[in-house]
Amino acid sequence: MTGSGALPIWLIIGTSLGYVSLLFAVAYWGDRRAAKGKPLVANPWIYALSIAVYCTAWTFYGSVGRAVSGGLEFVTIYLGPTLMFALGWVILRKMIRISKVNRITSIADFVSSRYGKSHLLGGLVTIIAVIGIMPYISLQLKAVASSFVVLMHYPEIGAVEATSALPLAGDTALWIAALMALFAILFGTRHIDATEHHQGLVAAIAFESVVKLIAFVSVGLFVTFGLFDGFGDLFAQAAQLPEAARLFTMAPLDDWAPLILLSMLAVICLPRQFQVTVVENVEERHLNKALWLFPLYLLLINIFVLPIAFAGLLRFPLHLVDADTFVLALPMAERQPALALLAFIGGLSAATGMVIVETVALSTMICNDLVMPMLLRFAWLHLAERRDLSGLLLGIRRSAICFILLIGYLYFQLIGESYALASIGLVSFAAAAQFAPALILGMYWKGASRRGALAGIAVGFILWIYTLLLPSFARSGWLPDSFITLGPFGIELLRPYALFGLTGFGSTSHALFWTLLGNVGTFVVVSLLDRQSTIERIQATLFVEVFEHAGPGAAATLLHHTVSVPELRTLAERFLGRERTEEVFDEYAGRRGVDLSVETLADGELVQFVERRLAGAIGAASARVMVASTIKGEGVGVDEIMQILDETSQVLEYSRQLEQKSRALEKATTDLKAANERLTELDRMKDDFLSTVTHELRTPLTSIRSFSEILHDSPDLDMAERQHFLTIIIRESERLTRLINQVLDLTKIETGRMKWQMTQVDLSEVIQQSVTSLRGLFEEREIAVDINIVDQVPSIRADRDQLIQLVINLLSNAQKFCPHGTGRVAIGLAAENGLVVVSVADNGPGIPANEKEKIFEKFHQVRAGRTGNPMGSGLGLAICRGIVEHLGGRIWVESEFGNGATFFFTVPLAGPGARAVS
Amino acid sequence: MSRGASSDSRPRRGRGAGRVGEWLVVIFCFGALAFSPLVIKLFDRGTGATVLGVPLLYFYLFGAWALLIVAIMLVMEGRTERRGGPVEAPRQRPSGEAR
Repeated sequence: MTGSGALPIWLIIGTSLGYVSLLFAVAYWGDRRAAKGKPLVANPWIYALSIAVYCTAWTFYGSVGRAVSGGLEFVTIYLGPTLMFALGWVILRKMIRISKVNRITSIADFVSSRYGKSHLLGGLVTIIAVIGIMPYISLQLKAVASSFVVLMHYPEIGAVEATSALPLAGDTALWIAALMALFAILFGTRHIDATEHHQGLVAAIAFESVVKLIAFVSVGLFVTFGLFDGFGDLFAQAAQLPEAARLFTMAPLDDWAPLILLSMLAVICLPRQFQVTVVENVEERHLNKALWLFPLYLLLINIFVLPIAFAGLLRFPLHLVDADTFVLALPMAERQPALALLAFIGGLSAATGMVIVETVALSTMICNDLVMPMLLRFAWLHLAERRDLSGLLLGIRRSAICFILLIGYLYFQLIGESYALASIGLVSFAAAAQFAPALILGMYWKGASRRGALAGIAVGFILWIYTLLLPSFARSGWLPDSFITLGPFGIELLRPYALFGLTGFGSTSHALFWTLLGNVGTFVVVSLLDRQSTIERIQATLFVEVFEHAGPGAAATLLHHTVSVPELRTLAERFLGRERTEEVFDEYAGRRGVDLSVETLADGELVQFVERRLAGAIGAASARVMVASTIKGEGVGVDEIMQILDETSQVLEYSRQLEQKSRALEKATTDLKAANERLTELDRMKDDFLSTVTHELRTPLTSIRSFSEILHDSPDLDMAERQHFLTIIIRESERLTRLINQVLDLTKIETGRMKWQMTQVDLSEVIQQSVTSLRGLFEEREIAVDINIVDQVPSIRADRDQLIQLVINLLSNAQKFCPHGTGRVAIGLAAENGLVVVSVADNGPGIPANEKEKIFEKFHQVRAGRTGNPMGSGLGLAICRGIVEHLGGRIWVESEFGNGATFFFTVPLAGPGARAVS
Repeated sequence: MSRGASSDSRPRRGRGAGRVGEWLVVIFCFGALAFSPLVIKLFDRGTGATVLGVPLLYFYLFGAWALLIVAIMLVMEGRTERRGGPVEAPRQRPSGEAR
């Protein structure tokens, strides 16, 4: 092509149409290859190139403009993604895995699915995405339209203001929008695919990425090595120009870090980036190469930004040419029509790629997360009657694409040249960044709750509107300028670019600070205060522990098996169409090795499988409702499905209870064992007692019997002997009676059947009487008795006879153990602290320490030491204790083994306790 | 019939995968440091300082960027090479012995 003369308009349009046709062809070819099972996009290079849809017309034309005004700052938009991809192994890989397992179709679906398949959250994300991204789409239309106008005036440069007053520009934008809509509809919504992969589309996007890179680098090479003698020459010349020289040093770095952060978040949160990076990812391992290929692409497309900017400044010193069009204007000024055309095509491809992917992503979101949930909720019966819904789904998506592009076009027409378009790239980034906290925290923090995410995103969005969107309206003249300079209603503290007096940042950094602060703060605090529902907890676990869980089917067992295979098939056909449904069911049958034509009831796993496939078509939340409707019949709401899912928590609860019970059981077993031991001990004691008692009974009985026999058989016994024998018989009978009485007494005391005759008793008198009644015994065994009674012991309330028995028991016990001849027994009575204390001391062998408690137990007898034989029935002290305890007192023994023993008992003085006894 | 211990000397996939993540996080940290305003200011020498005719600031920034990409590439590509053969499935114990 020669260097002079105008560039004919038919050539421009022809080339453009030719390029777009090529794009259609590539997309068609990609789809065909995929249909044949030889997918073109099963290739990490294509995948990495498709991610480069990140570079839009804003990159292609705008980077140079930004470099001219802000120097190096423009690279922050590409350093952020580079850093994010360095973290890709940690963050992106997890996002992709989660999305594959859960059949995620868009970022709205991801967020909604993570937080309990919430319709509300999905809708909110969709609305924010549409509002935030729409202007960005108009920016692309504007870029193409204005570059078209600039090129049309070839070779004149700067003679016309880009789109001013030219109706043609508007028409161009409309035509472009229509073409893009057609493309998006053809290749983005060809059919409802359960995998939501658009292979032809991805192939075309990758192709466009190559084209825009080649175009930009060509212009860069031409400028650097054609117009100048390499980088050194270019930079040396630029250094002479004051306007260029100022770009050699950094402008203030205030916005540097915030912009890197913003672009880091944007590269995963922009709907189109999520679409190509996560949704369209065919194989997870493709990410491995993309992790460095995509940053490399960004580096390559940015190398020549500064040279082109400097060359533009050197070549057009009079500011007649907008820096945003340098990429196009430089080849034009140098009379390089082919290169100019290539640059135009590059810009066109950058814009179309972005618009197509963005509209497809947004239309999926609008369809799955906004329209379908509403239709399912409000027009339930109507939808349930429809046989085939896949047509409806496609219709919604296609309408959404047209709607988005139409609004984008109208926005472009309405705002035109105003400020709003120029800064809209970063404004859109900031809107998308509002999804980042819910997205990223949701992958790593199980406690992140639905209400937290809703509140966080809502607060972030409101702050975004206030700090970025409204001021941009003000700058466009839709709002009074005072809104920015003086604040709303003149309140200076609320100035949108210096909220609460925060200054020292650019408007984007300022907004990023406030929106993220509000967003993350609200999100975290509300999540901490919140209590998650069951489905939220299930989803949180599925997302956070995606690498731990074996795969889908973890929650499958939760569903009841009450849906038949044909029912499920009918449901799937309504959304996926007959053919794809067959494929889905065949795939399942093949994978599990079952014959679905014989199976009547669908098991939980098949239900889960179909639900995930449906989720690919209509979104996770809607799919759950639809499947649930089949499972339980019509009219089933989300709440009831929640109940089904609640069973997990019930199972958990049961197992927890079971654990508790088994622990209780363990404790009971221990108790039981102890009780059993005690019982055995008691049983043994009973046996001992029985043998003792029988022994005790037998001894007197034997003697009675034998003496009676002697008397009976020997009638010639003399009188004295006969008298002696009868005395023995009487004494033994008395002993027998006494023993039996003791047993009866003890039983009465223990069972509470003893009749107590409570009167005021003078204890000293009781003691005197007891000693008197035993005097004969003491004298017989030559034992001295001391009585130590302090004066004036008050009377107590008790049963006198029982008290006497108590004292007699103790005294006879004492005398029993005293040595013959030298024995001493001392009985004392004292009153202290509201108690009467009686002590009975002897100088016998004493009681070993380990016996001190046991001797009060019934049937226990001290055997050792003395004669080896039991000295009594073993009931005396037990009866004593029974009496004392009944009177509210206490009985114990103090003894040093070998040095006698002293028994004490106390009885409370007449008081409330004593009265209560009667 | 005893199995030699040498058959297991090949690095395990699990370990390699863990290392990749760790390396990339380290690279990210270095990248974040290299692109931090503090470090960039060190190289901000205006028109005076140039390397091969390119201002030092630009040279540093694009150089650091390229190094970062090379580092990611080395880690990722090294990983795919090292993995080599198919991953061994966990060996099943012969069944039959109930213990």
